[in-house]
Amino acid sequence: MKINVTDRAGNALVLDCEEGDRLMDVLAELDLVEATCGGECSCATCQVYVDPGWLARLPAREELEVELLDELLNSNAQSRLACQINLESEMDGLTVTIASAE
Amino acid sequence: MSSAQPVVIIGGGQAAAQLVGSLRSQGYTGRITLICGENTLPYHRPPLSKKYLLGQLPVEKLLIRKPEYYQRLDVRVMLGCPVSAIDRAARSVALDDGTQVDYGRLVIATGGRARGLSLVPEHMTGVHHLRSKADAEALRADVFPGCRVVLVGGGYVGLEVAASLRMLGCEVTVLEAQDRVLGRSAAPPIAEHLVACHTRTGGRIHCGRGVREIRGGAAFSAVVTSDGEEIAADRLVVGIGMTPNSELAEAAGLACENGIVVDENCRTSDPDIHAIGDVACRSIGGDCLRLESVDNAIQTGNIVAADIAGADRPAATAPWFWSDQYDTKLQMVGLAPANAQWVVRPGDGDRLSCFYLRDGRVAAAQCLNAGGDFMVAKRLVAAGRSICPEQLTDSAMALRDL
Repeated sequence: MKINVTDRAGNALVLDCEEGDRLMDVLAELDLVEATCGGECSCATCQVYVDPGWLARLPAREELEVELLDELLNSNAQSRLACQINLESEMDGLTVTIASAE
Repeated sequence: MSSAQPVVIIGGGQAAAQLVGSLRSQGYTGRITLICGENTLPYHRPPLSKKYLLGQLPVEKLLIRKPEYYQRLDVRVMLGCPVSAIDRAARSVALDDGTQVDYGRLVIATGGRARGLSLVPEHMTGVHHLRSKADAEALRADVFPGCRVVLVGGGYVGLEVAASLRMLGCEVTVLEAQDRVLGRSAAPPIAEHLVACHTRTGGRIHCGRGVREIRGGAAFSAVVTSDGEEIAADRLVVGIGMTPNSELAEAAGLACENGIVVDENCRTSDPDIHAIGDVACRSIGGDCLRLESVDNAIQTGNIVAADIAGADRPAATAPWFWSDQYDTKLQMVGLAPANAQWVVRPGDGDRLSCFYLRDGRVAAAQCLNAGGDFMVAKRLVAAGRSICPEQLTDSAMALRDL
C-alpha cells in the first residue's frame, strides 16, 4: 500500500508501507518526525494533519492523544499523532501533512 | 567538512542512531562507521523494562531503524565488535579481533552497564539486572507465574521492572535503601502515588531497607535485609543504577569524572573526540551533568552532528524524561535538586502535577497521568516563566491560561 505525505519542507512524497505498520515508524524511518518517545504517546513530536477526506475513516482518537494534541500550539481539528495510527489495508492512499516541530 | 574526515562511532544505542541520521540530515557526506559491541542494530531501550519484558513487542519493532536505513544512509555498520583501545596519536580504534579503524572524528557513545551488587557471589544463578535487550530476554525466560522476586533498588528501571513482573504473575518485593523510592528525582507526592499503584496491585515496596546478605549456593535463595529479615525468593533483580562505560576514554587519557567530561559541543578534552548519550558528562553553565535519558541521547547526537557538519549548535532545550508503570504515565521536564520544594497542583482522579520554582520561575515539572499539563509545562520551563505558586495550585484555572 502507499500513503501520501507532505514533509515539513513542503515536499510531496509517496511512501510504500505495509499493512500493520505504524504511521509513526514509516515517517521516522525517513527521519521525517522526531518520534522521541518511540511511540508511547509521551512526546507529541509525530503530529500530522490528516487530509479532511480521510479524517473520519481513521480510528477515533483516545483520551491521552486528545489531551496532548489539545495543548500543542499548532494543532487543529485535523491533527493526529502518527504513533496512534496503525495502517490498515483500507488506508491505502491516506494523505497527511507533517506538522512543524513545536 | 570533507570525506577525508571519516566519522567513527563507538557504541550502538539511541545516541549513536540519532547521530547517524542527524549527520546525513545536516549534509555530512563523509564516511560513517558505526561499531556496535552488541550483535544487534540500535534498539529502543525504554521498552526493555515494559512492553518488551512483557513479551508484547516483537523484536523487529524494538529496532530504532530498520537495517535498510543504514544502507540507505551509506553507513558501515559493524555488529558484535567490542573496541579494545583508542589510539589518539594514530587516530584509530582497535577492535578486539585486532582490526584497526581510522577516524577523522571519533564519537564515543558507549553508554553504561548495570551496576552490580557486591554482595552477590560471582556465577550465582537466578540473579538479573536490566540494561540490554539480552538482559530483558534472560529475565523474561527465567520467571514464571508465582515466581517470588526480590528487586533491589527503587529507581525508575526497578519500579518499571517490578510493575512488569507483577503483570507476568510474579510475587514482587522491592527493597529501597533510602527512605523513599525515586528519592533523588521524583517529587514526594509523585513517588507516593506510584508506590500506591504498586501496592494496590499486590506489589510490596519496603523503603529504608537495604541488603545485608545474599543467600544461596549455586542458585540464589534469599535476601537478608539490613534490619535482619530473611526474605526467601526464587529470583533476585538488581536495579541500582548504571556505571558509565568510560574505560576506553580513560585509557586514552581523556578527562573523565562520572563519565567522559565534554563541553557544550560534546567535545572531550581531545577536540577530535566527542562523547554523547549516557556516558557523557556535559558541562553546562558550570554544572557537570550526566543525564541518562532518551532525550539526552537525541540532543547530544544532534549537537555532535551539527559540530561535525559545521552547522550551528541546536538550541538548548530543557531535558525531559518519562516512565510508564502499570497504566500510570509519568512525564517530567527540567531538573530539580533532591531537596526541592514542590508546588502541588491536584488533578481529577489519579492526575497530579508538581512544579519546582527557582527564583519564581518554573524550572521543572512532573506530571502524573496529566499529559496536557506536561505539554504546557514544557513550554513554561523552556520560557523560564515567572509564575506565582497560588496560580499553579488553583486547579480551576487551566494551566494553558496562566
